[in-house]
Amino acid sequence: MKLWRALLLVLLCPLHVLGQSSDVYLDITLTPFTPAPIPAAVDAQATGRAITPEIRNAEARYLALYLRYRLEASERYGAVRVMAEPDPGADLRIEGTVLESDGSVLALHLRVRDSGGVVWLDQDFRGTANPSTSLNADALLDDDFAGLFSEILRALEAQLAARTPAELDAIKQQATLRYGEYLVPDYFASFFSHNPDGSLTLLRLPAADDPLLTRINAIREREYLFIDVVDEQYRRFFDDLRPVYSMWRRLLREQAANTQRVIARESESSSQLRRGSYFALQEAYDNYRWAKLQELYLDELGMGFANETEPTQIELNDSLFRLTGTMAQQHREWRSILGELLALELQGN
Amino acid sequence: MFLLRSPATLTAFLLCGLMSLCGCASDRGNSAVGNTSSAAAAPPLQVKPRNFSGHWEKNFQLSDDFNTRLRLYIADLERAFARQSRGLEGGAPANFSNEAINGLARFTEELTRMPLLEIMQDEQLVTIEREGDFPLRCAYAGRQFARTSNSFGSDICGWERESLVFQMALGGGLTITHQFTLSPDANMLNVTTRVSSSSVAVPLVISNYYRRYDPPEADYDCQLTLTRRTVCSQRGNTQR
Repeated sequence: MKLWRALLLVLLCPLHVLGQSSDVYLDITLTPFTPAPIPAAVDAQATGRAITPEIRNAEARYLALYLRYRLEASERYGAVRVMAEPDPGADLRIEGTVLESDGSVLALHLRVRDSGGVVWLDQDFRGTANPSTSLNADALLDDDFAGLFSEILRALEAQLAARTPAELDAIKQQATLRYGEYLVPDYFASFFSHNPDGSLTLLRLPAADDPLLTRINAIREREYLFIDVVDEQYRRFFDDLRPVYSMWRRLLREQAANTQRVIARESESSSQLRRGSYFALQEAYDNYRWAKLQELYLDELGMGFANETEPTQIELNDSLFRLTGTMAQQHREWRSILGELLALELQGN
Repeated sequence: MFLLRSPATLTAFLLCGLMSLCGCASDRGNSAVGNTSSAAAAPPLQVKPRNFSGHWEKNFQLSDDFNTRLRLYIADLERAFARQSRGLEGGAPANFSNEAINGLARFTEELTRMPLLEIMQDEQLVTIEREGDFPLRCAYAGRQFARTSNSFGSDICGWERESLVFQMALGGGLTITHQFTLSPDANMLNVTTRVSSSSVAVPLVISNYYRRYDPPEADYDCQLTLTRRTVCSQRGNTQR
């Protein structure tokens, strides 16, 4: 049943929508991940510690961008984009949540759905840092958690491999219809129905020369031009953030290991000095001073991170703000124009 | 000379602090880096705290002479010992170990040197940079007091009337209290430090005075970064 619908779509839809029937590459849209929570112990501290909300937000963007570059490099997909807002017309949508990130461990929850609402992945991925640099690999793809992302790619590719080209084509058509529904709901809603689980049931197909579908595709292409401008900004953000974030993660790991070492050493040797003696008092104070300086060091890590990445983050936020505003405005205008056109065409009929 | 010690209120603060510190002791080592902090449970500040901000240098003329202070302290101890000897039947004998007294004295002398202080204060945080020691920081965030703890001790800091008080309870029964009080005209700062050890019956109290000074103005604005460490630019020049 699905197959003949897909074939019918292939026959009926405008040519540029159908260009990939033999070798189907799905376009993917990611939104910045939901940031990891800030550990409660540092949350209450007014000065913050090494983990601040700003770092968490930057990290959530960075990880989505890193996954995007990995997906691109795999050459198994079409355009892979990171967008500030969910894309109503994406073939595949990836949403992520950073569950845990402390420089040593990274845990993500990913939910991947296609345009038909079918869930491809809905699972946790967890990995430990494995810093390494390959001389042959693309430097862009170096990351302490590259292994974790390879696991994500494998899981996604297994899902991709399980689908026929016709099914993938259908996903692309559904994406176009979804985007159409987003802009002209009155017209495109009649082509499919929404199921309670978020999936779609195709009811009928638009004609091959459907003027609204042609316009929708033209609008979509124009929208990509906007998105590509922001993409450049995202790329700059990623390039600027990468060395800082990488160093922050490394320093955080070293600090955690150092703390564990000192605590272990002190718990072993604390009873050797005579209680109340100068050396016992001095040791108690030195340990406390050391812990306080560690706190200061963590604050400086957070501050150094913020100082170094703030200009890039502000630049990116400005771009996103402008784009989101512009796109929202454009969408409103397009909706209004398309609605009028639809009314005229219906009158003509 | 402005008087700084108000034993009743300080005792109340210390009592409250000690109770809080005891509460915190069980928290030690809970977090990944062993640090916890909280100002949330404290009552909000009723009055605006005084502003301690500025650079301060020790006034040696007004400050306690350590040796004189130590002689008085030992005399206090002897009197306490004598009192206890007279009524030996009643209480347990206090510990007057020479090693513990000397240890406490030597430690206190080093702790209270602090020749220069730089205090930065806003509505959330007070930071006291001390030459040769870690900065004292109180993230009071509009509250009466704030507590922090790490693997090696706990502290409570906050406002006691017009004074800013830091109290640390460390390993081995060592307790340190610094009380910072401004003179009415805000040109003089008193720092009273009380150090007690569970091995000595009487705490050692040292009072130091500081006066404001203006450090030479720096020609550069510096900013900490992660990959380039400290980045400085000439003052007034926004380019980096």
